Amino acid sequence: MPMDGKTQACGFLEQLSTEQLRELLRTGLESMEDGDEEQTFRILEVIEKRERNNPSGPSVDVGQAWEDFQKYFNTPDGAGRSLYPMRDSNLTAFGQKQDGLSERKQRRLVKRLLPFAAVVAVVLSSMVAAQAMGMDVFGALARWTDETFHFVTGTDAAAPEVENLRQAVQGAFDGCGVTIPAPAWYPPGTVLARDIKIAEDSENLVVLCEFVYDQKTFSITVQQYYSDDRIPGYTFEKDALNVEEYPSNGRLFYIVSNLSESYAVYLSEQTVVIINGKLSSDMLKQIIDSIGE
Amino acid sequence: MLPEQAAFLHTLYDANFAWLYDYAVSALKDRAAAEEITQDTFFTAAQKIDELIEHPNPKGFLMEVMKNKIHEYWRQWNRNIKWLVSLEEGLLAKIPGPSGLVSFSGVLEFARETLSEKEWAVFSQFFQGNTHGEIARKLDITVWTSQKRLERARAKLENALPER
Repeated sequence: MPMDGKTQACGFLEQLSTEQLRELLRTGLESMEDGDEEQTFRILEVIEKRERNNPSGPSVDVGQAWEDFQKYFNTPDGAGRSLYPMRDSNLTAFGQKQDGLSERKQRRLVKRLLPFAAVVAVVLSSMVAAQAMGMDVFGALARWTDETFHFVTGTDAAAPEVENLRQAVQGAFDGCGVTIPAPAWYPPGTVLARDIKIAEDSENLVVLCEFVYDQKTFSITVQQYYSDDRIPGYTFEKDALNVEEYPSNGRLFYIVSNLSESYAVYLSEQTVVIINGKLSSDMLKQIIDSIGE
Repeated sequence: MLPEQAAFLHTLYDANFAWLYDYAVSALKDRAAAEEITQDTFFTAAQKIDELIEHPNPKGFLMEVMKNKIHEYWRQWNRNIKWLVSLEEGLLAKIPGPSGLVSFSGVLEFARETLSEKEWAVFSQFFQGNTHGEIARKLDITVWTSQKRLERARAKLENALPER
């Protein structure tokens, strides 16, 4: 039975370690971009549930904290003061949701989570024989505009801006011990949307590269597991989406496309690569083909 | 604060302190600093209680306030490090050590001689890495008294330094 978006998102978050979840929170703060409030709350929910079942440190005593607050903080001599004064004084606008922003936040949530939903949708065995891949498309996708697919004329892979992208991604891969080469082809006009993100814990390492071109976004995610028995195995029901097997440079990618999104997943014993976003099938294959041997 | 406002604040506090604190711990990796920022977030909420009572999304409001305060924490941290470095450099001419170099204890010795007893009490605690919340508990003062005394201590030491 297809899962709703929120259940699927929480399912994905539960596959990450607590340290990785905390890293996602920190990265979101450090980037200073508009926060994805719902995703932040979901991450905190998962952490709180784990702490309740298996505390990693002393639990917070809210009653005592309230007493301390009343005695040491909420006192008349603090009027007009703050230990950490904020630069934005328009406090009443904080937390106000707007329709457009809510939709943008939902897109960002989907964009960030769907690569991992694709990963957990693949059944893995020690022989890495993925049998089926299906995913319940988030309701938000139905509201996205259709893309007109077109053939992409070859972009000179040696063009400086493309080479800079390749080097940036390769640099991140090299720094993390990822053995798969970075793609050497990107859609014309592609730039990195933000700094490449890296999260690491005792079992795996995740490198997330987010790109934008022509007001469309896509991402390349690599999960590198330290041991081949740590890769989680999940199945989702296969739906009507066609899954295409695409061999390239000795690797077998699984490609799924819907109206405006494409996903490609590659699995080895310890590495999972996901390319997804607003890419035509041809663009996706060009990116895949540009990954060296 | 009106009774209904106080009750609202208490309810808001009980419902949101734990996750806000956890968010701060994730960001700062320092439980003492996380507790202090969380308390300061609720103090800001208390000062805006009449607006917050009508706010459509108090939880979102608290999160935005906390995020802003965490950024300010990072800015203060960077400023403190730069200030500390400049302090040591500025005192080189005033307190030569046995080998001609200034030790950190020499810096503290200079501060001890320059500040009043109450200012020194806060200043020395702060330089041991205590937050205003921890200092408040140790010295049985409010965080605002701690903050004011530290501000006065810094101003005195800045005035006492030779020109750079």
